Amino acid sequence: MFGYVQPLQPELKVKEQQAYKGYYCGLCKAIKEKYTNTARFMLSYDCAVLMLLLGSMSEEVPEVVQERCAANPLKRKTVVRSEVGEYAAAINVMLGYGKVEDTYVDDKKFYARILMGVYKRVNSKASSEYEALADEFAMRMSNLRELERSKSDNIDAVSGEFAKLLAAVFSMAPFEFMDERAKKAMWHFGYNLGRWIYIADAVDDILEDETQGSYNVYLQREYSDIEAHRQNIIEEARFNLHYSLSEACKAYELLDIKRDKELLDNIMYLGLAKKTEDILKGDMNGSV
Amino acid sequence: MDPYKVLGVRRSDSDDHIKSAYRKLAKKYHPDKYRGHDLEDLANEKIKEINLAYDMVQGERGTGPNSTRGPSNTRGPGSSYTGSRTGSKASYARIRQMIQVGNLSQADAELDAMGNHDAEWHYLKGVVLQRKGWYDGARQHFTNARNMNPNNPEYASAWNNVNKNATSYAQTQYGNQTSGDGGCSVCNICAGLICADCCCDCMGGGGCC
Repeated sequence: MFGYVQPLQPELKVKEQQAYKGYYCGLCKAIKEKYTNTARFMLSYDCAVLMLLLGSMSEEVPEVVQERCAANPLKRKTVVRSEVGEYAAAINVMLGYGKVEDTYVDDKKFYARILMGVYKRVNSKASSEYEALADEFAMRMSNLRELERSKSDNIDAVSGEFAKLLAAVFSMAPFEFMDERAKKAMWHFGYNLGRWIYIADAVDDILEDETQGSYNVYLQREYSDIEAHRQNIIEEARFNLHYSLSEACKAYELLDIKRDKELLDNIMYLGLAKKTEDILKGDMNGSV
Repeated sequence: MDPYKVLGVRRSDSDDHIKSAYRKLAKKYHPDKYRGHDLEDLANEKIKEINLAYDMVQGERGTGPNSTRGPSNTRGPGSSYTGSRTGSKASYARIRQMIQVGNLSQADAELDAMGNHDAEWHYLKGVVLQRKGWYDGARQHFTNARNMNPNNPEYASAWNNVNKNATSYAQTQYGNQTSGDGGCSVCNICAGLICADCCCDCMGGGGCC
């Protein structure tokens, strides 16, 4: 994914900040233990949030430990260990590989081809463990590429494919606490969060994609001046981003959150809102 | 079920505190917010649970149940689609029926097969797209329906709701908690700088800024 889903740091309490970092480190360690050290370079904030959300719904209280890390060997870090870590790690690997593959297919970047080689095996390992999900991945990615190839200007259709991919990620998590009610709410949650991520990314990249001639759903209409065009689509994008978040929150409020609720509330109501504003203002361009 | 846990309160909390916690929850899961929504059944279960918890707490405390209850969900699901006011065409009535039972793809296919795109068509297309998660298209079709027939309250309300749903996120979540529109925060920064400047001057330095 793209690292858009994060808390609003200044509003976090110290203990919430600790918990957040703990999940982030916990995911990184889970990737290392289940996959390889190199796979850790794909580590994403979004998947840390996936792990946090699943961990907060789990019956099992996550274990919090202090461990050393290769990135900073002198300091012990808070690491969260949870039954959901392995799933989040697999998703991180699959989404990370998908992103690299995308960069190669879209932009024919040579480094992306190399990374594909490096990550091929870990991706196969993750895919073989979650086969149904891997099939869903393959289908959504191929639909998405088809829409991009045909230069689709339909925001709903294009973002909908990525949305359904995330809907699958959130609703197909194989845990006991994922009963029918949870699955339904998580599907709706994942769909709308995914829709938000896709549109946020499209708005954020619009100038860059224009310069590089890459596909962007917002560049498929007639326009003469790109800056003016960007201003024109902002209101429409604002509606779509806010609507998706409003729906994601409706689903979130129906989830059975057992712990770390303040941290999750921060992400849902403050972090995502702030990110939306930054992207619409154009503050983020080029930074992600 | 622990009714106190459901309401997110402690046993030692006052009656007033519990009442206000209950009201907040009742508002959060209000049936109107989820009407005709995919998650309507889950929200209804939630509101039933909250109502039951509140009744239990009140029974326990002898404050008497049902006296100050907020919303209850007596209206059935999807009731907003039943009133076919413009029902001149039998096919629209049939499509509304399909939407009501959740057969969205068939409703969509029937709509696509129709040649005449009047206000009612745009409205129904909007409803189908909204349920399908295609919010951008939904808003466009609701806008068309409203423009073609501005006096129809059903179209106007659909258009209003779809816009309100988007703005509700910005207003209730972010805007109220931090200085939302940027103008304010710029003022704060300026004020901060002026203050800092004053301080520096006071200290007689001038060296620091």
